[in-house]
Amino acid sequence: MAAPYGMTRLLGSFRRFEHALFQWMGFYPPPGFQAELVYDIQPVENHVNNQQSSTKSILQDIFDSILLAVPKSRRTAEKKRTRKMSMKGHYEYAIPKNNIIACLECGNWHEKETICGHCYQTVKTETEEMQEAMGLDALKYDAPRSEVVFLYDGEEQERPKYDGKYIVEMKKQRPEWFSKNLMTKAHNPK
Amino acid sequence: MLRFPYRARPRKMSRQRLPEEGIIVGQEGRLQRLRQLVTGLVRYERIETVYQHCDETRGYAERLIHTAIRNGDQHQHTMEMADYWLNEKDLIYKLFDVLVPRYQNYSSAFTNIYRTPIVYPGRGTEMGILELKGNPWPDVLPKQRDNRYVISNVLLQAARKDYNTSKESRKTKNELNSSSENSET
Repeated sequence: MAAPYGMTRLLGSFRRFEHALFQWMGFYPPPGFQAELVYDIQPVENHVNNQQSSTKSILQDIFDSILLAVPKSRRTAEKKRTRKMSMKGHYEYAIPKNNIIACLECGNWHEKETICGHCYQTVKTETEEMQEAMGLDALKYDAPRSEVVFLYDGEEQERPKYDGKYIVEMKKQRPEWFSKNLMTKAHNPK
Repeated sequence: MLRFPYRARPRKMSRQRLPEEGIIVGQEGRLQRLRQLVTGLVRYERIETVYQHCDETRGYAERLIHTAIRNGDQHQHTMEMADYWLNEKDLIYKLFDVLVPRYQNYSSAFTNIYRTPIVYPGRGTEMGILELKGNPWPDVLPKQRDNRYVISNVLLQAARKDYNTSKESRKTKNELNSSSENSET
């Protein structure tokens, strides 16, 4: 039995490396030497270039033996056609979306399953302001041991209603969209 | 026990730590990530992450509150669970002093979950919001509008009323007929 393929390649590359090394040290004539004899008419400049190319060819000899990643086997016709006709890749962005609706509040577009991004952005900025007003200590390190209530400007008369709760004051008017009575239903009997 | 549909199989989750520590994967990483999320949910009452992580966290957070409501703070197992799931220990007080009284009389789930819009162009990650009900922040969804007097609703209301009255009148007529037949026989 012959040696394994990888081993043969390795041995071959060693042999070539050895050859190149001896060449470099001057034991063997360089590979372009014979050709040089043939093209004797060439000027001296070319001779220098030829020497450079010979050193290049030594490196090439070393790196040629290393095989880079290539397909190992042929892709069958069936697989090729499947990939060609599939919706994956660039083509899936060409399919129109039918699930985009307009928000009833602000009119911006959003996908049907999701909430409206524009409306949520206002909520998010307001929340961040509220958290800032609450303070880092109460928010992050020592959570208050009662319900948190936010009092906006002009709501001072409601303070006794929230007795025993952790009250945070906001130094601004309550936004219009942030209603106090959030539990109002559409079909309220009163 | 849980008052919402949940997935039976555990999801694969991993916890991202500092770059030199790398990602903790597997069962351990999943639990660490979940604890991180439950802690965050109890502290901030509203968190934003990957939708799948929100959904996974929801069950564990609700279950913790359920046990706290049922057993109280004089129960060893419950306190161990609270100690395990809440990384920051000031939240154990919050669980028993704030969340338990808030959710005692609830007949629904304690949390809400929403999907936030996917960012285009981008990686297409499905993000979500998980929040505790009754939190002090403004509502995620815009408030319900009073649409009683929208023309379509008024017409529908009238049609429904008409249908009900006609049905009742037919019923009484039938009853009268049947009673008269009975009396004749």
